[in-house]
Order: sequence, then C-alpha cells, then structure tokens
Amino acid sequence: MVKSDFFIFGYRKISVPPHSRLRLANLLLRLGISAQLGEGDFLMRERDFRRFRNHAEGIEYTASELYGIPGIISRNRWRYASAVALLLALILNIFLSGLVWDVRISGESRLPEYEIREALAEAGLSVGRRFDSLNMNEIEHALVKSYPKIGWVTVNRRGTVAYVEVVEREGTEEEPEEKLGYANVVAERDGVIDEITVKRGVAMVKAGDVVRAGDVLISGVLPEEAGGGLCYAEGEVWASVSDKITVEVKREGSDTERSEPALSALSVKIFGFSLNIFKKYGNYGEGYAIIDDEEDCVLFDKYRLPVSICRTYAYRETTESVIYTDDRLVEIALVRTRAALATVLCGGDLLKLFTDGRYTEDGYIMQSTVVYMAEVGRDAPILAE
Amino acid sequence: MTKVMKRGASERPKIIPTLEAELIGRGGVSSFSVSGVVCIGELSEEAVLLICHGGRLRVTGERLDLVVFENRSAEIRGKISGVTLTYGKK
Repeated sequence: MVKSDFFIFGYRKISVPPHSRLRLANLLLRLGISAQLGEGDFLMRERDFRRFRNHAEGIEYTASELYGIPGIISRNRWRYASAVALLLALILNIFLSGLVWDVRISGESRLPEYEIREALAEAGLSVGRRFDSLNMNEIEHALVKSYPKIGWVTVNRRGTVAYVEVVEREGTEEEPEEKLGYANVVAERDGVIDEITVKRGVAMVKAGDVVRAGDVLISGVLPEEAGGGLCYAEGEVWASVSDKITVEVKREGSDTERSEPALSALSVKIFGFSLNIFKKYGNYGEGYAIIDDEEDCVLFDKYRLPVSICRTYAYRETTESVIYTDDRLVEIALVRTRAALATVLCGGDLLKLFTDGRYTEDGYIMQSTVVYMAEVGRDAPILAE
Repeated sequence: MTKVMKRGASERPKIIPTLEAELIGRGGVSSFSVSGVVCIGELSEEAVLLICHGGRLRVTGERLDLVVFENRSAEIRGKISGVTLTYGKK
C-alpha cells in the first residue's frame, strides 16, 4: 500500500543488488532519508530521490519512472482532452452537488403526496433548484399557511436530497354542521318505502307504504309525550322507485376512426431542462390528437432521480358520415342506454330493468323501465306563520 | 571555574541513544526501534548490526527488515531470535 504523501508528491521504485544494500542503508541514514530496506525494491519520495541521486556515486541502483500524481501529469501533459475532461468533471460535480435531486416526503398526514409536492413547488422547492437559493424557513411557513390541517413541517437537506416531514394537526376532523330551524323530511318522488331510519323527529310512514312526491316521511312536530314543539327532522328513507329511459338513434350518423398512436417525439428532462432526442412531426395538422406522457426514473423502485422521459404520441381521428345498419343501431342504443342508466342509478341499487325497442322510419328507439332503490327524503323547512 | 564560550557558539545537543521494543504478536514478529544510530555495520535477512554512540546492537533472526528514518533512527522488523548489546563502538 503506497502512502498518501508518496502518491500526492510523487515517488520512485528503487532496485538495489544485495551487495550494495549496506552502503545504501548507511547513505540513507547519513542523508536523513526514510526508507524500508527489505528484500527487493523499495519506494523513495521524489524529493528524497533527487538528494540521493547526487550522493549515490559508487552505489549500483535502478530507479523506475516517476509514479504518483506528478508522474500521471508528466506522462499525460500533452493529452489536453484528458485535462479538459477532468476539469469539466470537477466543475460538473461541484455544480450538480448543489442542486436538488429529489424531494422525499414522510410523516403522518392524510394529504395526498402530489398535493404536498405541488405546494412545495409553489413555495420554491422542486427538483432542479439550487439549495443555496432556498430559504427552508420560508418554505415551511408557506406550506403551513397553504394547508391549515398541517400542524408541523420541517425541511432538511442531506446531500442532494430534500427530506420533508409533515405532521397533521390533531383534532382536525370536520364536525357535522348543526342544523338550525325546523323542518320535515318529505318524499322527493313517488315510490314504495323499503326502509326508514329516524335520527330526529317522528316517522310518518313505514316499510311497504306507497308515498307520493311531497308526502311527509319524518315529521318535525314532536308529540306531547316527547315534550312537544318543533325540531329539525333528520333521517334516511329508502324507497323503490321507477324511471323511464328513452334513447333514440338516427339511422344517419357519423363514425370516428382513430389510428394507432405513434411515437412522434421523445425527450429527456434533466433537472427540469428538456433535451430533445427526436421529433418526427414539425406541426400537428388538423385531425391530430396528441398524448403527452412523462415518466419519472426511479432507482430500485424507491429512489426518484431528477430525470424523466417524455414521450409524445400522435394519432389521427377521421370522422365520416355513415348509414347505420340495424345491428349497429341497436348497439349504439344499448351503449347510450347504459350511460343513462349509470346516471339514474347514481347512489342507488338496481332492482329490475325492462328494455324494449322498435325500429322507426328515421332509426331506432329503445325504451327502458328501471326499478331501483334510492334515498327519497329531502328536507322541507317548516315556515312559521 | 568559569566556563568560557566563544561568542556565537552554542552547545551541541547530545544524542542520547534510546531503544524501544514491541512484540507485534503475529507469528512471532517483533520490532526494535533504535535512535541515535551512527551507522549500520551489517545488513542481511538473518542479522543486522547497528552502531550507536556508546555501543553496538546486533539483532539476529529470520526475514529481517530494516527501516531507516530521517532523525537517525532505525527500526528492525521481523522474526527476532536474539539481541546482543555490546558497549563500545568496536
């Protein structure tokens, strides 16, 4: 193992035949030069070698070329590209080590990570920014101000990564709003009561009753036994209701054909700077749709790198007039009926579905009767006379 | 009696030879450090003779290495079997 001062200041390997070793040892002792004289070669610092060389008359020895950093520089002094590359590497290392390579968020918070990242980016902390241009205190204050639910946040730098720890404020669950005034729960639409749950007030219907829109389901008028007076009636009333869905499809229509998406541009983003690799289309003309996809690079499924790959896909959509066949008419009607059904059933459970269709002069009509279970109660304030 | 010194002269410091020995404990390897070495009388893998002010030190053993230092110290490393101290340089 070569000593560090030997490597930094340069050294040579000296070989001496056995019969000259004693004279060499005495010379080194006299000159005050450190050396280990074992079997074989030994190492001598360059500055000591210059002194030794001047006094070594009569001693047989062989000296190697100069090793260490001075030797490397001497042998490569005409290779300018190596020197430039080394200098460039040094500058890049110094520059890049001052940038934010990754932002890692941890802590106890129910806020989605992407929201915290967006808030941090607005406050100035994002991949590619210089650490010395960031004020961590200001970023922490900005984050707490943006989200009142955050009780405590700290931003620390370790190397080129910014670690953000977030802790939510305790007791931030939203309390239910206290309802003011007096109200009944009335039926929003006609139906047959399936289930009624009263939280406050008096139930006026039971399961199996047929109700019409406007009928009082839960009354806000309290009986004498319960103390009398008025209250804001609350509860859940579920009933079986029915709806009609009618879909009409004209025989003359249009079809949109979409081509297979093709990769039209590829670029690499490093620290927010975009480097274009290739771009196939100069301008996207009419009829083209574009999909931009950005994929972050992650190391070992854990560490995000400040590099992302951006791909742009282009596909063409062409629309042309067509005359639908009978089968196509039914197919389109079914799709539209399903979409309408999803809207009607929002929050409800489907019980029965009757569908009927007929062809007309213009196209096709599909009619569906839907029976489903839904919540039918709505608040109706009791107005004081 | 008053000691008279020439103007500008100073007392030459005395070189006091010292001896340190350490057993490294790996396969019987040990090391001897000696300071105040004037010259080396013998140097081989089996024997090393150091001549100091006031005496000589002969070290025998196997696979002996000699390390010389800038301050006229020397260190002998190896499997040392014997050390002989003799007063006088001859």
